[in-house]
This record gives sequence, C-alpha cells and structure tokens, in this order.
Amino acid sequence: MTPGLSEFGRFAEPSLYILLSLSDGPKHGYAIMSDVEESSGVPLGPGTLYGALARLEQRGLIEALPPVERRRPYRLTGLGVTTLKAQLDGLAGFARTGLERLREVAP
Amino acid sequence: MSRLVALYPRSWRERYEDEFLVLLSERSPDPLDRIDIVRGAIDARLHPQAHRGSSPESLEPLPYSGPWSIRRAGLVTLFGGFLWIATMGIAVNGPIVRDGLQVYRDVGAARPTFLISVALLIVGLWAAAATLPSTSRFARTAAFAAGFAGVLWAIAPWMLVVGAVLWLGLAVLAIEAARTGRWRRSDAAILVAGIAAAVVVVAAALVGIKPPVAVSDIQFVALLMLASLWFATADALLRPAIPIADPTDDRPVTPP
Repeated sequence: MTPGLSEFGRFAEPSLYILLSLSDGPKHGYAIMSDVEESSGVPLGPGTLYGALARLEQRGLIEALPPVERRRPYRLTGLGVTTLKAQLDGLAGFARTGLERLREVAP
Repeated sequence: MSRLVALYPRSWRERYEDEFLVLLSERSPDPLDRIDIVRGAIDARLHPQAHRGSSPESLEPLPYSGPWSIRRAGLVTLFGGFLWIATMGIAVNGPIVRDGLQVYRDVGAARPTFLISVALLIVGLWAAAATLPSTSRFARTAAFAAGFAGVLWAIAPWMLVVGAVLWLGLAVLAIEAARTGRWRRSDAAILVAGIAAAVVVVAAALVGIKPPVAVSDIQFVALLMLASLWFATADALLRPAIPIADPTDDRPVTPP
C-alpha cells in the first residue's frame, strides 16, 4: 500500500513540492527552496522546509546523502518515487474530473 | 540567526543544525522566514518523533516519556492539584465571621492559593491540549475556552458558572485524550476513583451520614470529579501513553 502524505498535516503540501523537486535528481536545502519557488510560485520557508524534510526522511520517502561543503543533498527513495507517482496520479484524476465537469456545464 | 536555531530541540540540532545554518547563510531570512523558523522550532518540540531518523525501527511506535516541556507541565499540574486540595482545606476551616446580620465562614484566606492552583491547572490544560492531534479541534477549543474561564474563576471564585465551564472543558479534554489513546489505564483509574468517592459521599448523605465538611452534595460531586480529572490530566502529561504528537491529521493534500 502506498503511504499518503495526509498524515503530515500542514507539511503535506510542502512535502509534495519537495518530492517533486527531488524527482529530477538530488538537491540540497537551498536548491530545493529555489526550485519549489520557481516551479510552483509558492515560497517555502526554512522552518517549513526542514519540518517537511524531517518527516519525509523519517518515513523513508527521501534519504540524505553525504554532505558536500556542509550542504547535505537529499534524494528520493524507491518508496518516495512510488508515493510521488501515486500523489500525482490522484491529482491528475482530480484535474480530469474537474475539467470534464466544467465541459458539461460550459455554455 | 543562531539564536533562532537554538529554539530547536537538541536532537533536531544534532541532526540538522549544520546544514540549516548553511541554508540560512545562503538565503538571508526576511521577517516571514524568521516567523517560519520559530514555527518550525515549535513544531520540532511538539513532534519530536518527526526527526528521529529514517531507520526502519524508528517508524515503529516507541515507548515514549514525552518532551521535558510537557512533563514539566505535568509536574506543575500535579503541584496545582495538591495546592487546590490544600485550598479547599483552608476554605472549609476559615474563620467564622459574625457581622451583626449573619454568621458565615470567611473563605477569603484561601484566595491566594486558589488563584495559584487554578493558574497551574490552566498550564496543564493547555499543555494537554497541545498533545492532542490537530484533528481534535473541538477538544482543543474547549480546553482554550476552559483556560479563559479558569482565569475568570481564579479571580472571582464565587462565579460558579465559569468554574463549571472550566470543569466541562477539562472533561471534554479528558474524553478526547482517552479516545485518541493519550491516556493510560492509571489515568482512567484516577478518574473512576474520584467519581466513586463522589458517589460514596452522596450515598452516605442520602442514608443520613453527615458529610465530612459543610458543603452540598452537588458541590462535593463536582469538586471530587474536578480533583480526579485534574490528577488524571497531570498523570497523562507526566507519563504519556504514546508518542505525544503522533500525526493523525487527515487533511487532504491540496492540489498545487
């Protein structure tokens, strides 16, 4: 069974952004923040970033790599890839349903 | 900036402080970032299991004694409970006053300890509310309201209605704590003992045995149940049954 992110509470949405950011390769904290802000337009505060990273790491969705010049990169685990895919599939279904309904009510 | 990072618990800092400081040196934090860091520190203290590491065994629920801040609130609550009992003792043994119109017992001597004990109970109430999952909104709100009622009651003990609101808030909190698995059997046993003692007092009064102090039966029941709820709350804070803030928030992921 694929674990969801809903148990992360207020960190659920930032966690999804982080998983998405790591989907094209390992990144350290600052690179994740920049990537999330650039791709989604949502600024990610440092406290929120590390609250979400800790939860993702604790749940085995990401893993820390050895630090490079005191910056520690993170990468997705297999479970993280599966979880991200399940989340994106769910969102795709959500968007599809919404668009179909809009087409039905469109004049 | 290191002052803000110092707000995080030691276990968090051991794991993340170095890279966190590098991040903050790369991106100079604005006021919103500073607020976010403080929120992150509060979260790390309330949810210590969230940064316990990623080894498989860390995913299992561990025997957990709770962060020191919560246990300290339990100690404060426990002390407040004993002080409250002492307060009742002072009140029922206060001097008899004859003012020409009537004879009554002056309970004013108990006012200072009453105020302090209720203030200590409020600390326990809000600490217990903080240990509930974020989905327990009703119980958290009840605890919040009960705290404010407690402040009023501490200032004006003759306002029994606000005392009743405090009592009810504590009861709602206890039910929610038990429902979400925050209570041990010992906590429930303390509460049952309080209720049983109240029942014994009322039954004794019904069969004509004089109660040990001159208060009505209803007051006795309420006061004994308040005391037992009080001590059960303190016990639950001192010896939490499961990891304190096991995240059970079921809010859905918001589509980006």
